[in-house]
Amino acid sequence: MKTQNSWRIRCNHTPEVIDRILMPIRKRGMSIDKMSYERDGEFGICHLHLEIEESDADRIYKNLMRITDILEVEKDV
Amino acid sequence: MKLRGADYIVRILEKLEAGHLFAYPGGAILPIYDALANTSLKCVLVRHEQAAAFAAQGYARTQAHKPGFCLATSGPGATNLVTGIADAYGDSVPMVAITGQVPSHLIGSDAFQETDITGICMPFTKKTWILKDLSKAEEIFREAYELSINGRPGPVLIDVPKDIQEQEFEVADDWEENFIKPFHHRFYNAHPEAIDKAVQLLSQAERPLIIAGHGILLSDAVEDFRRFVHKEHIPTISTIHGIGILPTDDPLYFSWLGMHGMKYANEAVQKADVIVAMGIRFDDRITGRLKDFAPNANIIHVDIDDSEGSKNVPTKVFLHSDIKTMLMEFPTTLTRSSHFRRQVWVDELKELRNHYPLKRRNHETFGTATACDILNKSIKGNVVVATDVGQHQMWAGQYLRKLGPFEFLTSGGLGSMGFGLPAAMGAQAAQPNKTVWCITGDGSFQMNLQEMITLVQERWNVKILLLDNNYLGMVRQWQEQFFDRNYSGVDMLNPDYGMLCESYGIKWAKAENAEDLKVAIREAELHDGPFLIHARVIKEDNVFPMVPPGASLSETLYYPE
Repeated sequence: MKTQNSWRIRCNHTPEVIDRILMPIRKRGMSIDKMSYERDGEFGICHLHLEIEESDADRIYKNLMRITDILEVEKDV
Repeated sequence: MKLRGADYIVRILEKLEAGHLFAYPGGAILPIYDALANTSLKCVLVRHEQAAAFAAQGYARTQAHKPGFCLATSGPGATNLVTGIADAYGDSVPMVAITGQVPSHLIGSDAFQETDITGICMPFTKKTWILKDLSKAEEIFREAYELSINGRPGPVLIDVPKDIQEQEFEVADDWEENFIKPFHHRFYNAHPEAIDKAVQLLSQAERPLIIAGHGILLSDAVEDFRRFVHKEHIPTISTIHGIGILPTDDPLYFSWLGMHGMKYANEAVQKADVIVAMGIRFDDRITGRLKDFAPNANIIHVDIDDSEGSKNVPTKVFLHSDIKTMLMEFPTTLTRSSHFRRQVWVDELKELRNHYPLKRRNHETFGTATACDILNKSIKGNVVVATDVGQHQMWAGQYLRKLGPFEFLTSGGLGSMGFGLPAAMGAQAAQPNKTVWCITGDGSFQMNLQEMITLVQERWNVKILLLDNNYLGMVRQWQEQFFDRNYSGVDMLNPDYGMLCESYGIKWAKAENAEDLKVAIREAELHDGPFLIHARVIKEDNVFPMVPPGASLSETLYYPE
């Protein structure tokens, strides 16, 4: 069953970090509904909103955790 | 003092002790090549950039905590590195790839030989950079090196626009004295409650089993692991990357598991009540059908990458740590009564092994498995074997039983044909005092055979065992088993390998039976130079045991009658 997911991602602010955040979603052929990104000094805060299956959400979360410049992913904020 | 960007970068690579640089020149990397003419680094000219990336891997796979380096020009040079970089990512091999790029003002203009290589490689690198400002060069190269060898190792890529290479840059006179090469540092983040839970599970286990994987090598923890296995008296199996972690004749080692692993190793998983998985990622090649994997076991998973915890297989306890550190921290669980229980279990596995042994080869039928068996008998240690991908890869893993840690190099996660010869080159560069064998098939070999001339130019004494059945054997096997013998696109017309060797200046011998092969191996070992054995093996043969696709480990097919 698809559920609404709202994640807050804290990351290092680098040229490629937004691409890397979107990678696990894009490679599954999925889309985001809403996204915001804001720089905070050397860090960035990204909010993602997407509607996906729970199993996909788990996998995408795991993929995000592997990305070097991602520091923290808070689910369901 | 003023330094040209290219000279500065090369000097940084020297400070990082890059050692060998597997490389191919081109327009966008010319300034760096100009600087390399005066370097102490060993710059190896390969004949295809893909080989550069595989060679960098071979270099890194024979040791711990040291990345391989490869270098290519922009555009097609960079894209030719892609398979090797993806392969390194699939097997967590540390590598630093450096590419030239078109001048900064041309980026995005579809310039000649321009590709967005940092974008292309993003899915299978730990990180990529475009070096836009030489004041960041030291920081970026240091970060790249550190990232490649720390945490879960892997490849990184630095893209350097040509104008940056040509730029003059003011550096501090004492920058070299102040340069600190990054080092490998250990990591331990396991919660005490998790350790307690793991200890409790293991203490109460009737049938504990360890699965040892590549992470043990990457952590340089082989000796610690061997001590742990024997201190705890727990039977152990490995992944294919774990070959050599324990000697094959260790009384507690029961071979490697998975799609073409030993049936008794797969059965051990299915019977175990506690599994300690160390440095493995529960790849589908070893789990079989996931829902039926280890149906009776609580799993304790030790890994440096916490994204692996319960990624594929639900784990009861995840210990987030470098393996070596965990092995030092983990308390003893063995008691007199648990020793007795574990010995009963070990004896049960020995029975299983006797019931489902590796098939003996009588050497009358000259197949790939026989050839690997014969090579195994000739190995006397101090050897590295790099395989290509296919049936020969599986048989090599089954029949080469004297290899130690870091001595079996194989493309596991990506399964890249063409890996073998360049990886063997890289291994020889890293281990000049070892005998390096490349075991390859006629399909895989033709993907990078141009590197034979690199062997000659660099004077690397790699020995090549080419197992030629005029088929893409593994694909043919699947077509036989699952597509009703509808052989499509697998029948291979091959060149005259003898003439090919002679044109490359490589000594060679033909082997059409077991006796020929024994003679050829002796000749190869005695020859001071690269050597190729062209072994004409039987056309159709199937690798067993086998877990068919979609089947569980319990459904491992043993050798059919």
